[in-house]
Amino acid sequence: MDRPMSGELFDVVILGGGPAGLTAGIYTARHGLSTLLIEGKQLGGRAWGPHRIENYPGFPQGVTGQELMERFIAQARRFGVGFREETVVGLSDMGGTKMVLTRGGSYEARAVVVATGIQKQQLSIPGEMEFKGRGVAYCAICDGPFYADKTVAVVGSGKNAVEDITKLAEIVQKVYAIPGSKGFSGGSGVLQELFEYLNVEVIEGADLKSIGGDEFVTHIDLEHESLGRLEVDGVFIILDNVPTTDMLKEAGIETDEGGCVQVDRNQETNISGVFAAGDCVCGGMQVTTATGDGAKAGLAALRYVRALKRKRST
Amino acid sequence: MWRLVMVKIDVYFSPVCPHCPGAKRLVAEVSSEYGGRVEVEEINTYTREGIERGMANGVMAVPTVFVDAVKKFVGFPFSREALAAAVDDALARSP
Repeated sequence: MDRPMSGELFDVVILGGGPAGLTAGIYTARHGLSTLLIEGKQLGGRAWGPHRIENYPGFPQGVTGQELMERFIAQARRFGVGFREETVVGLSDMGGTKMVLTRGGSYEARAVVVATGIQKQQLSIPGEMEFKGRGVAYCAICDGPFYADKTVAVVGSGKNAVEDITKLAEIVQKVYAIPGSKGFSGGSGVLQELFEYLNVEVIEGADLKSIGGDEFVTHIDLEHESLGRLEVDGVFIILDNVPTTDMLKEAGIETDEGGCVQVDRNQETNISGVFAAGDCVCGGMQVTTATGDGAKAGLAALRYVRALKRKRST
Repeated sequence: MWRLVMVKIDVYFSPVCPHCPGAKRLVAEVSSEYGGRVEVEEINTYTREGIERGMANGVMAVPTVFVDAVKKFVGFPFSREALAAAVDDALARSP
């Protein structure tokens, strides 16, 4: 990534390098605005991962997420977007400009586009971090093969958890499905679906209390009226994704109860000059919807910055 | 005969893992800064050989990164600085 000077003023600073952020950058930089994009993890975001994207228009044979995102990145670079590999820790409105704080420094911006995406929830129970990679896993399709002929628990109540339970049931010896005391979000239909898998046992009315073992996971402890401990070789924690917006809430940006950033028709948040796009606004969770959001946010940021500059020059 | 490589990095990955490309990219970038003193091997755990080798070495998730046969990172992201420090440490111990 490029290394611009910390503290430098940009017309637009974009937080997040997934499809929404990259598209916003293409629009603002192409119109001559100095644009910095900050990404702390993987340029391309969640879209980098899929083995094949079949529904992105213009690719009739499909395209890998990596190839599509490499094209987005190359296009953004061509128009002059600067990239910085940093973690954003704060955002504040200073009236005329915004201050973006990172672990490594700070950047000033006339407008900010938030495209921070979503992240997987964690349980935050004893043993989860200690045994991460030693029996605690978060991706059934990635890590399931390590548990062939073993016993695993799957913790989670949403659609993703149910999908992963059925995937694991085809690989492992036994699956304990633990949706939590509130049950599966899909209701009794899910129980009926899982009933068809002879090696899946649904533990209803139980919350996971802790994960234990020695070198690797050996057991889990439950909050349950009769069951206490289950012997398992692995625990797959498959919770729903949530918007990456904790830092934004602290900055005063309004979100709904699910953490989704609230925006108007121009992708503008409750803070003037701060726009949001992509998965963090909980739109369609698709590359196509993220790019649409990103384009609208980029154009709105363009209008905002031009108006700001006109105001200053008069 | 000279043997330039002094540190070996093994990256266990899966082609269906969303975090693996980032880990592989970072390992490639950091290792390229050591002028041929670091060798990188990528092991695909979606092959029989890869999964067996991974399980024999205590791998239970991808991506997992070993530096000179010591498990250093599980999952991604991990920092460029932490990886470089692990390589520097291994080089310092290299005969």
